[in-house]
Amino acid sequence: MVLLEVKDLKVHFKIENGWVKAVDGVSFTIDKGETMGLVGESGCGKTTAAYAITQLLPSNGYIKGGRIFFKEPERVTALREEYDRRFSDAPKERDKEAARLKKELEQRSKELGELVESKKQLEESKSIVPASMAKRLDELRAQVRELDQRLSALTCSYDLLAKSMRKDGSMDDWNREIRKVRWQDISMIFQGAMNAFNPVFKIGDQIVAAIQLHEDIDDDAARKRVSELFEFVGIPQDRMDNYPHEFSGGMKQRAMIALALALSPAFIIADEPTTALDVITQDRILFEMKKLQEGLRMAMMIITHDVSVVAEVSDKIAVMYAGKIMEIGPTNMVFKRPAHPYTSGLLGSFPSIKGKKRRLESIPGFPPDLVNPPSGCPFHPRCQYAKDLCLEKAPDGIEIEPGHVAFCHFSKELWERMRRDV
Amino acid sequence: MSREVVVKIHGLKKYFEIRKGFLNIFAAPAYVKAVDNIDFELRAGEILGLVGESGCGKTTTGRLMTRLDNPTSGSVFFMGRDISLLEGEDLKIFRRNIQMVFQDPYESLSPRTTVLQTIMEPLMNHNIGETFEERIEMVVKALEDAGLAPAREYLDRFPHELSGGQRQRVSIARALVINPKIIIADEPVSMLDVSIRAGVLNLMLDLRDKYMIPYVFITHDIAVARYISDRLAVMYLGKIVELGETDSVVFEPKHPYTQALISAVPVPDPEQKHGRAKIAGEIPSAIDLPLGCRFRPRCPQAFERCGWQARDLVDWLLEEERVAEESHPMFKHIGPLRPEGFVLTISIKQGGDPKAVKDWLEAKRAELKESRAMFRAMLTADDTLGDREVRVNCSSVSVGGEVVAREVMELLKESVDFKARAHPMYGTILDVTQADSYIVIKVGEEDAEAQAAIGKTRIESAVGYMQDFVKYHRRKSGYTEFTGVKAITGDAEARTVTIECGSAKMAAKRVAKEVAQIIEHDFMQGPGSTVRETFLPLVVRGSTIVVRITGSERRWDELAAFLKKHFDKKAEKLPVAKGVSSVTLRQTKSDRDIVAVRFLLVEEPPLVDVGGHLVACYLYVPRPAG
Repeated sequence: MVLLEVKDLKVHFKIENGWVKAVDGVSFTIDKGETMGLVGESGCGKTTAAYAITQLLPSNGYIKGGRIFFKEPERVTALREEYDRRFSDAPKERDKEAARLKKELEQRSKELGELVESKKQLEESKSIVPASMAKRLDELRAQVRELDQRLSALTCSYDLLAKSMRKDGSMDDWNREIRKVRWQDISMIFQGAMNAFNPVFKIGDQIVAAIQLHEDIDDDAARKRVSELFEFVGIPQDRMDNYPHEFSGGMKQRAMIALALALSPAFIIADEPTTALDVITQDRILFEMKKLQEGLRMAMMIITHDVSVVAEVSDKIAVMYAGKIMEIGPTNMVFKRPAHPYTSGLLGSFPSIKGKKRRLESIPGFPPDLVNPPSGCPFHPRCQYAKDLCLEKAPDGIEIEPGHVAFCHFSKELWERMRRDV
Repeated sequence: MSREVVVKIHGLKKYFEIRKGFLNIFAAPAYVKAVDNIDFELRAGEILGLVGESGCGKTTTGRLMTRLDNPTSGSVFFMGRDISLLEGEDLKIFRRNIQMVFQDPYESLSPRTTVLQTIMEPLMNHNIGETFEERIEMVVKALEDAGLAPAREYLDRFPHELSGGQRQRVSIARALVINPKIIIADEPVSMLDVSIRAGVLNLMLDLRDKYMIPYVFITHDIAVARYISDRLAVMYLGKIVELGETDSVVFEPKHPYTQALISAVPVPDPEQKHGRAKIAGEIPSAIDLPLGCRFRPRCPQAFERCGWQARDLVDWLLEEERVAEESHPMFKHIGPLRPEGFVLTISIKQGGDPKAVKDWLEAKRAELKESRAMFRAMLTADDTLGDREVRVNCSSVSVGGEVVAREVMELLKESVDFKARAHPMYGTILDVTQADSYIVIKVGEEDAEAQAAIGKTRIESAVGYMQDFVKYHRRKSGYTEFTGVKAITGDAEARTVTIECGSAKMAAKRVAKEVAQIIEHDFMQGPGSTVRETFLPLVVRGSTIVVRITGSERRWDELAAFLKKHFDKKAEKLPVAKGVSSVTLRQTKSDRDIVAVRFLLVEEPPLVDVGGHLVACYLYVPRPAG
């Protein structure tokens, strides 16, 4: 079941001499309990995408399009897709339809309210409720639900962005509704846990504060929760009253994970969770994250530049380059049979400690300037297979295998050539 | 494969002194042992990978090799000289021959100078090239070697106009331009993006193949080290724990730490799920290192020979206390615990019985011997008198030229075996001999190639080395006898360098140190010594040595008498022993009853050859006979 759907997301940053197109049309879905790895080099927009989801963009960041659906019921998704098709070229019609449904919903709700009221009166006076009345009540309830779902689908009410976006595309990150969702439903393990805690407060107190911001519980109960969390991530409970500088790097990272888990969110974004850590600590943290995620059935998005970390923990992988997704699919398929020249190059440039030593392939050139990205496919200036078509037209996604999509004009032809499992 | 040795590192140590707060300026300083006695060599044309977790001392090693830091002790030999002794012009020549590539290309290039200025600067500093045009040619060649072609396009650019990969290539060009003999690369690719990284790594490999420049490649990324290096040294807490051919270390790691490290490296292949690292805890602080093997507290395979010590017993006792009932001896008898290395002294509570504690510990030892290595390493638990000490007081002594010569000679020999073919000074110093108060150093025939490289004859080189050696040790406190060195003369005809020594005065503190060593050697570690298990750790306070022992009053008197007699006898042969002015038995104010627990004395594991690579682990050290 789909938990998060990001649809054609565009996030641009306003700078002195133009717009940095940090995220430029990114779409993906994450199921409940699934782990997706978002891989790319620095500056490819992976962290920006995460900040758009948690609505923590810096003040010069603007949403230039797209939607982020979170916890949308399946029926609503189906309806929304149907409406999208129907009104794809007539947005005005869509508004009209929405207005009509809204009116109808109001009417039905009123009718339902009256009926419920009269039923209650009957019950109070201990007279028999007629069968026709009960039947009508059920009918009305079903209608109201149906109308409500249709209206949600039409107005995209499960869209997180709709809640907090201002007219110009900038984000109101103090928006009440989004602050309720943030951390409660979607939490984040920030890049560089070393600096993510406030150095002048005790770590335990900082987590207690996060819990009490969202839940109305007293200090003792909150502290009890924190000590459970500490045990869960493997920190001795008596370290709760330590300050961040008393923790080692690995422990800070664990405490960060405890903070992210504090409200049992349905979705966690981990931004380079192990980058600053030593291998042995990294290994343990990855192991713990995987264990937690499997135990709590949480969905997770791991952002990293290190493909070996992704290979280790994720079910699905999305490769980003220059603000766009190049390839997305189940981890095994993408690793073994990459269908995009960039993915192939990225995998080829990683040394491994297993297997025979082979000469690393490097990708010539360097990542593009995102103020003036290249025309067509953004990877074409560095691509050895690029043809004229690549300069002119941005490629659409081509589904090579079930669930494995590559955004390259020639992925079908290149696919066989780039296989890595033979 | 045995190539010529370019750099030899011998017993290298770097301790950083730390003091907590300014009120503690009179307290004994603590040291961070960043690099603690490492040996390795770099051979011609090879890439040596230096890997380890953060804080293991790999960067400090690189800094010591380039003399950006001076070692606490030990030496780095390069081109026939100990680099820590170099001064003036010699140092400049050395600096030209060794270059460094730093981690962060954004910080290691000056933002205000162009690429041309940056790369030409070393040429100017070392006066290489005649004309400006000639220098530009050199810069262009270096840039092209570093893969920045067409080079002329880059000359006038500033660092901010370059990408990360290009900047790192400029750093490499800057290192290459003066034709160094060695390059030390400290995490040169860790700040670069993956797609760029492979290019820089390949460039470094190609340059090695083209110019046969050896590299020391310092990195935390084992996959990168495996890719680039021919040999691999794994460091842990300032020590090399394993060293060997790269693939042999990666595929057949022998040291438990290397095994854990390798198994923790993620593999870019979802089907190759690897085994989890099975080591516990985190890296201990480099200030208060465990004795014996420093990996022991985390090692899954630790056994009795690895160096269990007082601290481990304290941890166990505290754990015992946490879960104990009220009748437990921890509550009735045991007072404060004082761990000192391999000996734990346990004070007995008021009204407590030392005998009960002793018996309880012995019983526990018998019970847990099978399941816990710590108890197998426990030698004795004995009661002792805590309120007395035997003091050996020392005073300064005057020593003759012969003794000074012997001392200098020993230090010279200790600093490395010059006769070994693998030594960079091989050929320069053939032999060192002592005759009365003279040390005669035989110097090899001149070598035109070596002379051209450093601009000195071998005799000049050897004299320079000896002068630096003496000057260095004179400056260091503790080696006062070096004041006795009178003259250093070179004779090109006879091909010798002679050091003439006169008498010198040895300070009381230094005498105390030496005497303590004698006590430790003769009594505690000497073969067949029966008293070794009853000695408590020696304490040296200035010119006084405090000796303590377990057992009854009578034994203390015996000990004092014995020490006195021993040094009286020794004084005839050993000048230092003359410095022992008195031996006294004194009462102190400490607790009267204590129990001392002594563990097996364990030194750090030596590097031993295991299937072609060197490993520092007791699993591979044969048990000593008996």
